[in-house]
Amino acid sequence: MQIVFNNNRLSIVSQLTLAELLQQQGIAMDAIAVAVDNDIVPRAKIKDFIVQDGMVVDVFTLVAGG
Amino acid sequence: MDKMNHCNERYLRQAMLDEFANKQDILANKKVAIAGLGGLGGLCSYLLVGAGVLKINIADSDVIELSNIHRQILFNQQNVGVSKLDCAIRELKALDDRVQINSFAYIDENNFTQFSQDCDLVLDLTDNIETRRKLSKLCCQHAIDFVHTSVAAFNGIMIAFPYSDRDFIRKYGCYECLVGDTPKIKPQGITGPSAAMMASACAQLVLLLLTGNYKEAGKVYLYDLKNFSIKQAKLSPNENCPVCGGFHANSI
Repeated sequence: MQIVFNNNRLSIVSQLTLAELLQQQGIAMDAIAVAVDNDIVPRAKIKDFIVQDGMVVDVFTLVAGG
Repeated sequence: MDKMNHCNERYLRQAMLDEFANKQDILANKKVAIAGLGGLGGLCSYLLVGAGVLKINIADSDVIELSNIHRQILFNQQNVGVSKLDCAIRELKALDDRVQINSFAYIDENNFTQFSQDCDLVLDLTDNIETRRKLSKLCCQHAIDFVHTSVAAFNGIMIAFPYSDRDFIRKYGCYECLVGDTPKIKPQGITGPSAAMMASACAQLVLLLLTGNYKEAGKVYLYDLKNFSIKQAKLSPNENCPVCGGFHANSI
């Protein structure tokens, strides 16, 4: 299965959750937001969200400074 | 020069834009509440008053520190140790002595109604995620439109949450849906220009909102301030959100 992850093509196994994908890519869940096909996935749904073939996944840094 | 001509001259270049032609009376009668007078809130408030937003509430509990002034351009080295509120009021009144300012040393559940009274927008320009979550929750509960802007390192985020529109909440959720269980975020480094870019972006968004020129819904603007790129994404609701979940109960 092929996806685009942070602008790079990536082969992944099927039935992978977003949380598992992030873990595989070495990205900690601390202060990030994830968009799939340009829609933000609420953080509460990341652990159950199944990544599908062809999806475009972008990870963004959450900041809170002012 | 009479007062009318003086005002016309003040906004001459702004009013040349179609979006701002004949909009000065509208801006003068809008009221904005600004939480935080740091790198974002200081410049943002200055740009808004300069543009003709003449009723503002401002909140900050800090005094000016030497480490602030590389990015907090309302303040200079003579102001170290002075209250940010006092200094900001002085600078904003020097910019336009017609501006009406109410100041608040803090915001909590008890004075939020006073802070947001008659305001068209609350701007969250604070410096930590805990305060941001509380402020968003209060605005959502009180159906007050909310603008979030944050910046750290080379990353900036800007989002308009029109909480007075319950359909918006059903469709896009709230700030809590976005940040969810995010743990406390440690302070990071920042340059003055990064803070100023996001303060300016926020002021621009607010002016467009106040004049009815912003028509987007649910957009998150994600700024990369090192590579000068802006990505956009759409918010999505968490139906079980502890803040706005109740609004999703009857949604289709």
